[in-house]
Amino acid sequence: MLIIDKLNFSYGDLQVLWDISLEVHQGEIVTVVGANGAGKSTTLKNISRLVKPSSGSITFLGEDLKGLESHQVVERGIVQVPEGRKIFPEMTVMENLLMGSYLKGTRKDRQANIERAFSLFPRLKEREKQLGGTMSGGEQQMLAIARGLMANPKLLLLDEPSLGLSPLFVKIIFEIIQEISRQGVTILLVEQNVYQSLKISHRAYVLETGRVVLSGDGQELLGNDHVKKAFLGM
Amino acid sequence: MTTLRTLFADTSGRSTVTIIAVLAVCAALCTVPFFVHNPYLLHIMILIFLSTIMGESWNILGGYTGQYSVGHAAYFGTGAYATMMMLQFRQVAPWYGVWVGLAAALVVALVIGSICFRLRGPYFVLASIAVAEILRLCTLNLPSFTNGAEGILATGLPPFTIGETVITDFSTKVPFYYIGLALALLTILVTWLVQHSKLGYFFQAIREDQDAAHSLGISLTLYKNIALVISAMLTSLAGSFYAIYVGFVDPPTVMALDISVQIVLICIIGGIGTIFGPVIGALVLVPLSEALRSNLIASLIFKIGLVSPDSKFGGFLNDNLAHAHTLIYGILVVIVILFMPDGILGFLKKLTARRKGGEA
Amino acid sequence: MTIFLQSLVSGVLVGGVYALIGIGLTIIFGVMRVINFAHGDILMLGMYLAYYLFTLGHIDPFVSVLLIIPLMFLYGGFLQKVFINRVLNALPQNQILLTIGLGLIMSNTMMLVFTSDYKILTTKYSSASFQALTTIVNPDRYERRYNRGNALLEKAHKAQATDKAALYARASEKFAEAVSIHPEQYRALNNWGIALDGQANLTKGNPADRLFEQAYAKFTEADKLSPDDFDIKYNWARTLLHQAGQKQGAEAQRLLTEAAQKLDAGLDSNSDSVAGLNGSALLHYLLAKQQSGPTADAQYKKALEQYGAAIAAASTSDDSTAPDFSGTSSAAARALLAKAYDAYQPPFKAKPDKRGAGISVSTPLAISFVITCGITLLLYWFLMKTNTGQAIRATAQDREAAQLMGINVKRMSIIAFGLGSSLAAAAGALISPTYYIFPQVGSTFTLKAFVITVLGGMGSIVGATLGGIIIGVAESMGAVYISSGWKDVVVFVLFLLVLLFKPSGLMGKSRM
Repeated sequence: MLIIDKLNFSYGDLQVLWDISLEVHQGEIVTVVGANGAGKSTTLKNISRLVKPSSGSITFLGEDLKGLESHQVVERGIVQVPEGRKIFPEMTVMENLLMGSYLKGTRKDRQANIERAFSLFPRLKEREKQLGGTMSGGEQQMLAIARGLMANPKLLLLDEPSLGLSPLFVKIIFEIIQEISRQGVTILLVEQNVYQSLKISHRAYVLETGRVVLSGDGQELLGNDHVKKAFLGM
Repeated sequence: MTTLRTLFADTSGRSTVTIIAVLAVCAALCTVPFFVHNPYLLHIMILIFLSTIMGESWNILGGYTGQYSVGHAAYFGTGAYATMMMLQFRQVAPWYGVWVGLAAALVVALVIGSICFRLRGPYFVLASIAVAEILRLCTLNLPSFTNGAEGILATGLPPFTIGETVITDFSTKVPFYYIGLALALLTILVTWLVQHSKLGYFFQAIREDQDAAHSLGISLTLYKNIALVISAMLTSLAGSFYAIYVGFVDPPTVMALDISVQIVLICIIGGIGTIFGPVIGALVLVPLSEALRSNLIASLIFKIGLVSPDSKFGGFLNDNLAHAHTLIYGILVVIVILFMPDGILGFLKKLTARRKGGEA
Repeated sequence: MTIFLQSLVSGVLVGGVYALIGIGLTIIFGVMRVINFAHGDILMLGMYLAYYLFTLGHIDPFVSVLLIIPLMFLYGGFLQKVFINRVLNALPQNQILLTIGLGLIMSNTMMLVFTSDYKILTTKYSSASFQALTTIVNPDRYERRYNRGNALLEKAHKAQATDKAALYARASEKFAEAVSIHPEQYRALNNWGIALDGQANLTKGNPADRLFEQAYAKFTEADKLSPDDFDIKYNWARTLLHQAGQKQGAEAQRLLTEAAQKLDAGLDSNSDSVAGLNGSALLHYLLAKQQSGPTADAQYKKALEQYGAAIAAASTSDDSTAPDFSGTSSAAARALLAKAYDAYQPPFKAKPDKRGAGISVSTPLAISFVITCGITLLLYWFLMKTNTGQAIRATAQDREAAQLMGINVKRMSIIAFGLGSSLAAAAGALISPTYYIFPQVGSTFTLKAFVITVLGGMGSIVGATLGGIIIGVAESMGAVYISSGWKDVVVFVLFLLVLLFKPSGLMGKSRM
């Protein structure tokens, strides 16, 4: 579905991604794990074309994303739920959700998508009229995911959804991710919470200082010595 | 002392060449009045010196320290008004009045600094404009003190004497030429000294990253104010020089927002944060806008035969082109920002660097 | 109290237009984070568009604003697409300088094309005003009596002959009371004289003469208090004319001569008053009819002159000159004047006091305020309820997140700059009937726009609306209670105080 081939990227003179290659297949949950600054979020930004790669290719459903603007990537069905939630603070929960289905093609499904969002996150329905900026971190994360789903994504990019959340919320979020996957949405997850994310993912990649150092089955990697030592403290 | 030491320590091969070149140009400039007797050409040279002084002074605060003041008309006007008021109301000769202007600019700068330096970025820009506007409105509304909207007209300059010898009676443009040249060289020297001293290092650190500079123990308030005071006093000198040269000041010509903007543009167009950027800016802007003002461009258009001076459009150009002399500032700044963000000087440097790179 | 309310109301009205300017700037800042220094120059373009649509196309500026908004939307969008979009990632200083440069190009191009002359857009209502809040504003004792007197005078003028006398008498009483409170109010004296004249006119013989004498006493007093006032001399002459109408022979001629002297003296300083010139022509004509020989000819000549001047003054176009009757023979002149003046009655004249009850509201400002409110409401609706409007708000709140929603932020920037420009230009069109129009007018408004947006909080539309009103009121209060020269200082000091003590503005950090 998504094929990244030898992706390189630099911020000015500073190269942050080195020959990244990874694949996401239809229906999978694929996780990219790695320490802070390993280049996980930058990879997602490259996919969403918020930044432009210096070399390498990103292909989605057979189409090279080269030359597309970010909003066109969304039109193709790749939706990113960004790190730090990035809720529109001066908009209500409802308005935030509606922004998620801003694209013309998704507007006809608005009502159905709002209902799906509220059934996944009943709490959002209670907060329908509250301003996004006044909600707690966990609620904002729910809203961010719900907002991403409003665009009928084929591939959902989740950037650190559990960051800064209480254990209870972390648990809910990972359950929701599996639920979304069951509904047929392919998921590319970027996480620092290695244990939880590897447990739910089909396949995973390990990033270190901008390079893919390991890849394989989620369960398999959980048992990998290097992963154990580097991320799980075992 | 540090300054002096760096001054001499830094005489590597390249700067020796630069120093010799600068000295040669200075010497050549000193001889100009012996060959050029056309008062209009001298006038243009004097305006170039004036613009250089203005640009260089702003450069210290805006270019090196990164504090984009768009209110430098306040200091220009302070210098101009102080000198003129001393001359007309107190009969004090301008070469003493200048010192009053400098002192006044110092006070004004410290007051403005204490207000504006609490703010950053666009807010600083807006505050600097507001303060300069307040000063202009005060000048306009205190006629008993400043003669208000009427302005002050100099009724005559006393001759400059040393002892009994009359050095000059200011009847030609030549003395103004030398004063302008001297002041321009002075501001360039000050900028050079600033750039090659610890002070310049602190200024640039503040420009690059205020918070980082602060965490390194550089006092932001102190060094921003030092930059402002140097910049303001030099600008005030430019104002005094302008007032004596033109012989008339009123709020719109020495205190308006336009003046502040022009000061910034000289620097931006030439190249910000470099010693010779403002010189380049003045060299480009003054002749171009003077050519428009004196209708040279209109006559050129007629001479080429692009438009007949007798045609309706030609007559229109003849009548109106002169009024639009600041148009050139607008066009140049747009071009510079879009295509040469480092100014003309930076653009030229890049060009030569590319050529050198190509050869190697 | 009246003065306070007066300046409050005019401040709010002007503030409405300021709000429009501020909202435009704040939308641009909100979406692009660029401070638009060309904002005032765009407003200036709006003024010129309104001016030329009015003078060449005869479209009223309050109508042409509907044309100017879409035009300047396209212009703003063009500026964004061609220039501003290129520097969105540049240093904020460079963005500022780019807009400064664009503004300089705009103002200098306009100067090149239309010269730097001041232009004035004069509509029929440019200097019109009306009274508002008459029931709320409680006038003081003098004003109450003065206004009552004026109302009675008006009523008497229109009333049936049988009621006139009583109404004039009551009006006289009111003016008498008013004058006893404020003896220096020459308008009350003047109007008292008119009321007495009205009474006298309805009487005959000695009682009439006594009333006429009283009226003259009032006019004399009023004239002493305000020697340059044309209306007083006019009314005085009119009263003398009325008394002359009741007399015969030498007595009538004496009164007419005195009337002509008074009126001609008044015309010295007010030489384009049609009513005055007509009155003067009438007086000289009547004098001529009573006389004969060379004196009569001289009076005819004078009457003809004044008649011609009256015709010239009555025609609106500026270049018309007085018709030349100098060649007209005495008989033809008499016929001409007889036709014009045998049935002439000078119009009723009682100018109400400026301090009259209620608040005087400038008609163009009031209309522009109403239009401003309409535009603002429409804008709120657009931003809150439409997809594009919400996308603009989203872009302002978080540019990156907006991109991830599939919003084309470059397009939103173009729309935002277009909107901001059309709002500024709309403001320019709306104020064009009340402001001088010249190429450099923009910088004043650029500065005002900064003050307004910073006051409200950069990027906050509600804040800009409030900020506009506050600045309008601060200016108008400053002009009344300090002086018009210092009003801008008041505004800038307010600006600095906000910058220093509440840099996020009145509405805090809230964005669009």
